[in-house]
Amino acid sequence: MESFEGQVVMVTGGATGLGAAMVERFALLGAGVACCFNKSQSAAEALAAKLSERGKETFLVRADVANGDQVKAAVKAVAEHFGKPTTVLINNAGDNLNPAPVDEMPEETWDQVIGINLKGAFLCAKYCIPAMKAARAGRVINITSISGRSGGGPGGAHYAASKGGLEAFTRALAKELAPYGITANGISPGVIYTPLHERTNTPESLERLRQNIPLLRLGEPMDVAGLAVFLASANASYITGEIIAVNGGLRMD
Amino acid sequence: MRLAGKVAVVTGGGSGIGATICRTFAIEGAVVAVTDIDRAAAEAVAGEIRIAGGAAQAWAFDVADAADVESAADEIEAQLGPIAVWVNNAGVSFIMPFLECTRTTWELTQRINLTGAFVGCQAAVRRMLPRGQGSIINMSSQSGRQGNSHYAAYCASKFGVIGLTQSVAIEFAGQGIRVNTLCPGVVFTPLWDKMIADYAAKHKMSPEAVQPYLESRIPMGRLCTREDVARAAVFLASDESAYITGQALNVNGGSVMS
Repeated sequence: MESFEGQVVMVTGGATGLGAAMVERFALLGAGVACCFNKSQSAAEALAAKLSERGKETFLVRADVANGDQVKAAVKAVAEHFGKPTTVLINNAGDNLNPAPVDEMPEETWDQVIGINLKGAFLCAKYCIPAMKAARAGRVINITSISGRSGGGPGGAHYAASKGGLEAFTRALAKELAPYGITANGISPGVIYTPLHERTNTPESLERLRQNIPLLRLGEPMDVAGLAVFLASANASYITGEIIAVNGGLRMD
Repeated sequence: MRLAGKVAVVTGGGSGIGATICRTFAIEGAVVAVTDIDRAAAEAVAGEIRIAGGAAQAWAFDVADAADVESAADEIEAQLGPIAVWVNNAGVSFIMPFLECTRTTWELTQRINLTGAFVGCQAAVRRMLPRGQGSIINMSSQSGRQGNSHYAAYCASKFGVIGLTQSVAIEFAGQGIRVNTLCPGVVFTPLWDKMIADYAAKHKMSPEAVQPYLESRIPMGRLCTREDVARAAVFLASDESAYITGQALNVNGGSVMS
């Protein structure tokens, strides 16, 4: 397996679910990993402790990705901690807050979800890109969702719209960064078993979902981490502007 | 090594992208069946892999001849072991004005690019089913995502490969077989040696101007290499992509995003 020694990988929403799997995977491959969290401080500390037992130090940094000042400070703190700036940015932070039909959805709910899922990716990219451009190397990986194309589940218009927007942002970013040798790609997970799905589904609804997945199983966070490792590696240096689905065959575009 | 001990069949393995996939798979530990309609070309690639310390053997067959493919697949399993990975890579490509595309050219293109993949998928699925695992990779193209003038036969065949991939993926996902497609951008291979003049004629430019013109239209500013494609094939063949099936992965430097 490729080594990520000397790389600095910043994962937003890194304390739980997919983010935690990616933090773990990149840390074990030798990268310096910044685990960016907002609300999940205890989960972030537990993850760092677990990795520390395996001899891997993780840098924990708190930021609300929807807040430009906080993102700017976090990106700076990561560079100072590792003595070099982020080389791989993984925009993973996301939420599906308070699902509701559009006519009943409070404007603040819409703004919050678009803020975390879409503006958050913009802000993190905005502040990480200058150093990548200077180095003429780097990777941006955006975690989108099957709902960005399918329209998502009941009450999830804000979530689906944010993820569809994130796909378009990924492609625009790819075109902008290609001349610098920086790639930008999206990973579009289907149903991955994470705290988010535990919260929004019952065991019965998860079982129904499972039966609709051609591979007949829910995804695991490590299924997504494997693709993130591939996209961040030299093996994927000619892949850019792509949205790659990890969904067990649930949707094929 | 990400493919240690896996038996991998690669069609069109005697030249171009196929040969690089064979070499790269061997470096990753696979036992490679290098297959090509040109026996000498397949033998040469297999021999080169063995000299480099890898495991490979050559077979010759026509990908669209089901009887030939099936008997070769039986031989491969008897000599190398159960087939874990099958890459339908063999292909032909012609650039010509649509009204000059003869029925013969159309049918040859569908026969090799699409029927060949169909026959290969059947041979692979038949053998993978009892073991409940396997990864099939069908070669499409950026021309399987977007049509192009002077390129109807090729584009139609490569769009077809994606439909074939999705259908077979859905039908056998529950039995542990994954099927995905790779869609490379322009790779200068022996196939292109013959096409550069036709491409130049289509765009009314000199043959020397073709490469800079193609590069200028690719966001990353360079053509796709055989290695770019082979490294993506390793990913799809390996367990790293265990939850990915029915997908078409573009490797094109950003030239077509879909």
